[in-house]
Amino acid sequence: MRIFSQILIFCISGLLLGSCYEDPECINLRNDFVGITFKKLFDRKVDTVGIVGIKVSGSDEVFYELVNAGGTIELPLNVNSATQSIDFDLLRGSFSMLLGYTSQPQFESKDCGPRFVLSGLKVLQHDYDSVNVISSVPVASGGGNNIDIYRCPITNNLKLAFRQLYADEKPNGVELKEKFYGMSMGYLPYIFYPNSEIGTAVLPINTESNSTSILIDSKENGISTLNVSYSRTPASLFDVCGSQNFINDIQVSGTSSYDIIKVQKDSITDPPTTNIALFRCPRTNLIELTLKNAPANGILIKKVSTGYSTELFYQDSLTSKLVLPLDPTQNTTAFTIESENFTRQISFGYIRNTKTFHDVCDQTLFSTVKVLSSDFTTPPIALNDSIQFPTVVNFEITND
Amino acid sequence: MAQKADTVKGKYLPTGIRFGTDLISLAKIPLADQFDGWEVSADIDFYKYYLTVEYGSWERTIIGTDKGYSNTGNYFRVGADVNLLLKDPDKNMFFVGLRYGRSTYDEQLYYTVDDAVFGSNSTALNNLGMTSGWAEATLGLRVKIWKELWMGYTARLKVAPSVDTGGGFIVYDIPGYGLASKRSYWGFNYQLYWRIPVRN
Repeated sequence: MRIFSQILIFCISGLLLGSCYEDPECINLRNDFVGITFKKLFDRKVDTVGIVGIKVSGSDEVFYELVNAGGTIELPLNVNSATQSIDFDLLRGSFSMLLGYTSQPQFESKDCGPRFVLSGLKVLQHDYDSVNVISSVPVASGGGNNIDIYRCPITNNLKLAFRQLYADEKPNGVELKEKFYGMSMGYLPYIFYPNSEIGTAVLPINTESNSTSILIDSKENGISTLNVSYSRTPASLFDVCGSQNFINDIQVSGTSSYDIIKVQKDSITDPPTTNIALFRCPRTNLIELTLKNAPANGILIKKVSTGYSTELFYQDSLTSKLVLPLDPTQNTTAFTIESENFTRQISFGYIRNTKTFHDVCDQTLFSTVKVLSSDFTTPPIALNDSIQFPTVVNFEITND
Repeated sequence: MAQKADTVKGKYLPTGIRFGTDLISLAKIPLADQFDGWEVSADIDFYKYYLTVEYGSWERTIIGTDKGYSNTGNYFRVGADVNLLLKDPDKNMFFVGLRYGRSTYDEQLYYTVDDAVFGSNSTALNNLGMTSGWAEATLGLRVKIWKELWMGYTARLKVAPSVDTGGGFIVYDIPGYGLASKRSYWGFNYQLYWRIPVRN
């Protein structure tokens, strides 16, 4: 009897401590976001989408305002609602989607209050080409994707690439970022890429015709007109998209300031790949002069002129180097450099040779370049006596 | 031979019924401001086996700032214990056993959500007519204190709760079990019994 009483007391005291009611720790993880990824039906890969703004019902907040989304975006879900509409204002148009889901609060403690467990996510309505719910459990912020939004193939995006060739045998050169006033097409009243500096351009050609005229207005090289002709093949690759005109047999002609125009891919893909490449031959007559002791923001040059051309260079420009064209028809070229403090003349002599690059680029090569005369007090220092492209510093001149 | 057969046959006849209550539940009423409840139990012996029935009432009220929870319900457990001390002349018990528990209850939840995107929203929700069941493994003592007064404890490992999912919110607290989010739970009763003998 006594031993039982002792066991009883011992066990009671130990177990009483363990029988206390437990309050759980706050669980801050909330799965009240929906992850959305834009994709292309053509290859089922992620699409980059220009977003003007996205609004969700129950809030005035605008999400993803003026951004390019190239991955999963996430939008908040209202835990006090069973549906939520989303209005997408995209560069390619306006779309809407109505989501349904179950939101169940779960009490945690008097300090934490309820958390919310969301599940059963589905798309009740939408006006996209196609959507696919890949996970019906909404995610925490940064937690992943729920819905793929697909768009039908865009079959008329023609891609132009502007390329700079070098004085070598590499046929594709490098990207040429050129400044444009804009580009336009005969059948559309829009200016594309206004006042831009770009290396590639994607332009929608006319799917209702077998040709499209493209006008390219370059700030430095004037207007080029490309006449792009092609054939159209109707096909239905995806049921939701119906019959679409697919472009192939692309050909190009016209007047252009570009030295070479090549059709690199004669059919249009989505995403676009370069269809037409526009090349400029290397400029092998550019001499580079660096201005020694120039301030960090450069010296204010009023203008640079040369006797063989009426063109003026570096008008009212702050610069610490001058890249100037030598006369390819003579063995000497003289430049007059005017700044707000001085006017100096300098003339160069050189040996010329000619060589053809890339079959069509007949180039004059300059070597053994030297200073024939100079008004600068300190004689210019020769650093490289041959002209190269891209340019290298040929002479260092000191303003003293 | 006939006398021996009668002895074996008679040992499975009950010798008494014990009625008891859980002192911890009663102690919680004045001591714990979030809980009100009681539990009564009864067992009857069949040789070393005991049929056990327990019945309880459970109310929990948790009030916080802009949020609160309450439930009220009843539960019962039914099962059997095996006394491992067969040679004790007072029939004191050290036992193990199994139970099946089931409760019916209502829950209420109110809260205010302050959301940076969707603003402030106050909501009150109910879970009415909820039912849950679970299983238990038990271990304990019953000790004769004085005449027919017995005391004892039961430690119980509660497992595998089944929870209704059709309510307005996720079940929080199951009467007789505890937090629904826990797949297993320890419980403890400190019990006082009065035994009514039916035969020697």
